[in-house]
Amino acid sequence: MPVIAITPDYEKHIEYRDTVDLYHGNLLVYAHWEEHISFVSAMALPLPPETPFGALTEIMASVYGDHPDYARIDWSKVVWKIDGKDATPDFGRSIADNGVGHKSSSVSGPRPQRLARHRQLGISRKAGAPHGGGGQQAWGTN
Amino acid sequence: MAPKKLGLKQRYAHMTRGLDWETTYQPMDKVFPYDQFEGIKIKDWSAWEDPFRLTMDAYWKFQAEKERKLYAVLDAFAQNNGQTGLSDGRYINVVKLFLTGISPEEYQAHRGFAFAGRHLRGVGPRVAAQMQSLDELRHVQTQIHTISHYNKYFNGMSEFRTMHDRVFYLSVPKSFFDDARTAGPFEYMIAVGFAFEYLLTNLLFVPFMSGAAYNGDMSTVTFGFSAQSDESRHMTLGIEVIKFLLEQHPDNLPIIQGWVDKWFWRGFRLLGLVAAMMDYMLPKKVMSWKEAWEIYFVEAGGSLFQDLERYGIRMPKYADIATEACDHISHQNWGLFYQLCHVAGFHAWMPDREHMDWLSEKYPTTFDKYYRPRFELWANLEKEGKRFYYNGLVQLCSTCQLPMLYTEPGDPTTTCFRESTYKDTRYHFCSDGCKDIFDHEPEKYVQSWLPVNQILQGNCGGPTVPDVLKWYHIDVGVDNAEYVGSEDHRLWESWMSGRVAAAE
Repeated sequence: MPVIAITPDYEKHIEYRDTVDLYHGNLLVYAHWEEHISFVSAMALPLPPETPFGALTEIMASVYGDHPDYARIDWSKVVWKIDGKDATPDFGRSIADNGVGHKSSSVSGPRPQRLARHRQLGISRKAGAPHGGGGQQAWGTN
Repeated sequence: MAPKKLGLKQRYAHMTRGLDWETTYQPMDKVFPYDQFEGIKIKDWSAWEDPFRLTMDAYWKFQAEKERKLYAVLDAFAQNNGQTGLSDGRYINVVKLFLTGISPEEYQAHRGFAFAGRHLRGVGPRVAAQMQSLDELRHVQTQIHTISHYNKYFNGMSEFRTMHDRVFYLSVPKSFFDDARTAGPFEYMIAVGFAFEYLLTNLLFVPFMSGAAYNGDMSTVTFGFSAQSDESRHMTLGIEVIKFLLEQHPDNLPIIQGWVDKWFWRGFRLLGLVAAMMDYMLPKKVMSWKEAWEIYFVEAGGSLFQDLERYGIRMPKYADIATEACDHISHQNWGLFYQLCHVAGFHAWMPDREHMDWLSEKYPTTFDKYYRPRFELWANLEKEGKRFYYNGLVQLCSTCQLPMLYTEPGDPTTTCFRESTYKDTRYHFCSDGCKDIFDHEPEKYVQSWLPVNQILQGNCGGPTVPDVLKWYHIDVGVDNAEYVGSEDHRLWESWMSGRVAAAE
């Protein structure tokens, strides 16, 4: 639907604020661990397209690793979704090769099949996960 | 012979009508360039009935009187060290949220009504919009003056202007008003005049002002009172605007309905932050968010839309979804505040047992089932010295700019994801309501300044958490993170122990 604006050539003046060229060579990728909704939202990650897909398991640990079940995930049995579609990523190849693009809500898995669907909605009571706050880790743009 | 005194009605007509003229050097359409492009058709501006017959001189007189009363109370509050009479030190975080998230929007509303007051062609609505513009400016000033007293003692307030423009959760109210102010004058009047000031205003002011009254914050209560007669004028203007536009031309109906739908949803998302405040941050509770929603939206809003039915206006789209979500949003948003307050300008905490029992009572079908287990666990982690924070960057909704934290309607265990693609770039949304708004005007929302995305693009002071917090003007270890053990907390405890010692 065309925008209703007083400026007839409005489209020429648009400043696109979220296109891939603004991310210094990275893709913005959203990684989400399904059903673990005590973590407020999916993670926003700036990743070079050549990042090996397998590296996501470690990258995601920076947030989801606080959950004790995270360390127990059997990655070979995880069901992945990339942009809403079931996917079987090759861990050795890059995220781009696996079909992850800019602002892919990719990786909206992993749903660990081995673990029961986690209905407790919290960090499990057996928690012993490490915690920090306001840490120094880079959020960075690489 | 003494000149005859004008009657009230005559006097009013002279003071508010015939103040402008038909221009001759320039066509009127060039003098009022903004009042046609939105597609709203006005046949007769003079059909505008002023909802309140207030002339400028009377306006100044009333406002000056209110100012005198307000500043007398503020002086008394300061001289009596009123800050020590609050219900609890936690309460002050409500004031911080108000100053950083609401007061700057009063200023935005001032700018918006000044724009409408310049660009509406009819003199009636123009005068009304100008008065409201002045009201809003007065509100932001009195709020800053009132709260400046707390700033002498508590952290997190002094940098409110910079914080409003930069900090991630404050982009929620900021983007709401940016969106309204970059629309045309008619959409602005529906967005702020009708949806915000009429439909949803009680849900903003009751939590803050009654909350202040229940928690010993006499100064905030007083500016609330001082604003109250203005607010009732604003409400009247809001309802008058929508009726006037609908009566003018049948073609206006679908446009107005679209704006009602949009601004209801944007307002609902914004008020979710107030919901968390109301249920979690008030040491002494007024009522629950759900109760407030039932009274002020379901009942009052319901009868309002019954009244508007004769114009063809129906309930806002997704009103049912919003009402269902009221069992969840305050808990979900408090979870957000709790786990991200290390990057926020105020403190958060876990509710104690008594508070959780109150929440169970107020939310019998959801709190114990979905939220208490999570919160008790976090409270236990805290006791073990492992206070839980989210140690990353969150995914934001491209419309409301809140983190993508909300769950599917009817399924509180599954995160709601919606997506659109515009010119080869994907955009993500927390809800159908936010996706609809984007899809209607993608050209506008692709320009959104999303705080997290801006950090990742390298525009927010640097790549690390401390860099970004410095750029936010948040003093790490002072303004942010957990309440328990904070400077504010220690100050409060010292006041309270002083009180016991004095009593002994």
